[in-house]
Amino acid sequence: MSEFARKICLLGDFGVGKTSLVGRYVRNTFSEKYLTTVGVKVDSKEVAHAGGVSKLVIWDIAGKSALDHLNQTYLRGASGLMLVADGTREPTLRSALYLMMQAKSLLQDPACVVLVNKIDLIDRWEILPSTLNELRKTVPVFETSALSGDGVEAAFEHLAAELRRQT
Amino acid sequence: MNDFDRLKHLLLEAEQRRLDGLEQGRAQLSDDLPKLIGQAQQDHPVALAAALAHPVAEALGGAVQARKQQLVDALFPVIMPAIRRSIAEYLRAVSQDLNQIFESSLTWRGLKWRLEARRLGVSYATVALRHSLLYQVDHLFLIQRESGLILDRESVAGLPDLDADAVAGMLTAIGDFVRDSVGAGEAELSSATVGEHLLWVLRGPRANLAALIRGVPPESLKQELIVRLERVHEQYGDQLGVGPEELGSLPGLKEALTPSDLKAIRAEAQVEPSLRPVMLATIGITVLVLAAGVLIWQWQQRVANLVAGLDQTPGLEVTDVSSLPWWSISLQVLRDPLAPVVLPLVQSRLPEHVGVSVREQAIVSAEPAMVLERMRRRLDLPESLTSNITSDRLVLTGTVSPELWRALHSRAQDLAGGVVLDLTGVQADWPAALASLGPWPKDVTASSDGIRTSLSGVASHSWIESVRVLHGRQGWSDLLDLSQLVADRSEELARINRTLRGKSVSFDQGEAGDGLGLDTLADHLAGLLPALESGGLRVRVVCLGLSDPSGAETDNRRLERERAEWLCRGLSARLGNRPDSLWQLVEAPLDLATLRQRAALVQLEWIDPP
Repeated sequence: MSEFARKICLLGDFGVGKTSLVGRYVRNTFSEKYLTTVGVKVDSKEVAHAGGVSKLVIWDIAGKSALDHLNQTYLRGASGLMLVADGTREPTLRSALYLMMQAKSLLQDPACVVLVNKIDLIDRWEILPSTLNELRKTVPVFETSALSGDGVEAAFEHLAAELRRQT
Repeated sequence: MNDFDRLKHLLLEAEQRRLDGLEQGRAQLSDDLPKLIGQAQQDHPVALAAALAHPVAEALGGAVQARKQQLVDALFPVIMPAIRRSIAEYLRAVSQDLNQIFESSLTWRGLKWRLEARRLGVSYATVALRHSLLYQVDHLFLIQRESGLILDRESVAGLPDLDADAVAGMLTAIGDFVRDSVGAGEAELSSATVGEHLLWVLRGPRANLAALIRGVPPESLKQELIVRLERVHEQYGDQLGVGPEELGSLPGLKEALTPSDLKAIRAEAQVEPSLRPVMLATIGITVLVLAAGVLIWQWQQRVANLVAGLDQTPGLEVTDVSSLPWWSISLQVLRDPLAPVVLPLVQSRLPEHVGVSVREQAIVSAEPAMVLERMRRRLDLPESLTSNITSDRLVLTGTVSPELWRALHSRAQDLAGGVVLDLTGVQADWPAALASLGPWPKDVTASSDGIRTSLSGVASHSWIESVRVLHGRQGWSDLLDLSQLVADRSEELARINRTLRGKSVSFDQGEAGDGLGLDTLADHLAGLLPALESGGLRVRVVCLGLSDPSGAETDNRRLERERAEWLCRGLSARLGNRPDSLWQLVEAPLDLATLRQRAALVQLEWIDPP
């Protein structure tokens, strides 16, 4: 390995599909029961992007609308954040943004991407496209589907490339 | 200055001066405080300590709360060696306890370890622990404490692939979870059991060292790992805490983070599967197999030699052998009645503890030695005869008595089985048979034509006569031919002559005259001569005249001649006409010259002696 791995954390409200996104993308090393017991599940993934190959260590933190002390502990040392929202539930986007703000206060200039999940249920989305367009002005936003895999790989590649650029 | 100020100056000047003095003292307090504390330490140390105890404790408490990490960084290198020494002392005490326990054991393994400890010059407990605590460090992770990212990892080759980054992250998360939820922010997850692995997490200020160990590691391994972790912090302490982007920007850091001594401890911890027990077992089994093989081979050689010996014994033939090596043997043997008994023969050639079973079956052996023995017994042959059998011919050589010789010849015709008895080498021992007749005449020889023996040569007449008498009495006519024996008459004649000397004729002194005893002598000769001449031989009668020593020699010669002539005439007249056989001797022969007497005598001689 020519460089060190980067730690990223998945944050988002309960039921937005964080674990499904990770399960779609990475090799599952640990059981999901850790999410309910320990509150976090860690996996890793080598991501190929325009700048090369990066190793991501993905901390899937149990879904909550706000970070408690333990979750704040889990955030330590993270280089990137992946905020996940459920397109069919508009409040989850607000929770994701709140979590982003909270995490940014704990971390030093982390790379962030926002994933609006469940694009396969686009007809039931509550989040308006205009809202996402406005959001894209400050943070990269990806519409994803854990069910079909759409947008998932692109989101991770983007975050990996962003982390690579920070080096 | 107006009036009011002047009034205030007048009223408050002393007070203002005092306040200025106090302000000046307060300003100099920071400068004087160290000096004052030093002075108080000298003058009133107890009072100073009592005064500062509470505020210092409060200050430390506040510092721990406010600058925890700084205090940890400062105290870690100081505290850890002390803790390590404390643990070492504890382990030493445990080792002593174990030593006492082990020393009380009397197992074979304990004895072996005790010998090894004596040989190596270390304590018994050290050796016992070294043998007992077998372990292997399968995975070793150096984990950044802050992020849970792995800084370095080492794993034993051949193990299943492990997502070390995920594992390190989860270890960190679980550690945080335990510390936050169970330990109330104080306790740390230091060890856990994960399946067959023992997990050790050694905490450092910037990085943790996690080891997944299989087996039972000694406490010394943990001490070694702690020392290595401390060393890593000493060398890279500040760099271990930076973010991964900064870690990646430091060239050579990652390689440097893989300390060689960390690898060394891992290699030291790896206990290679020892092949020694397998080798020892293999060697032991091989030795046993070889020993068993050698014993079986020796037994087979012994049995083979035994069977060969029995087969070479005349009259014995081994037909079947079965044995349990060095335990028992069973033989089936064909045996001629004349052959030795097999059982004692076998028992004498095997160890006493070997059970021997022999089953004999009688046969009449056709082996030459057996046939020969059978013939000897049947013919009752004496030891003087040597025998040999070739093909179907029994050849005897030696000498036997004439009677046995005759018996052998008669029995030879009765032999069964097509065996020919060859007696050409057997001679009748005639010297022994005739030994009773006196010494064997030196000129007599015996020759045989295979059946009859012919004696030839010269022997005394008496010996020959005795032989003839015995020959007739024993009926040896078919065995012994005496026709070639010639009697030696000279001895007989000498004996007769000695008799005739005692029958001399005597004369009166001085004259030849008639002698006395002539008739007696003539009668004697008349009976003697016909017997001597019966074999066709002829005898000459020699007359000798003798004289006494007195008188002249010439006269004595004359008298001797006259007396001899007188005797010849007298005998001739009485014995008839024997002109050719009479002889007159003038002088006495040398052997009669000493007979100086007045007499005449006769001596007989063979004419044409045989």
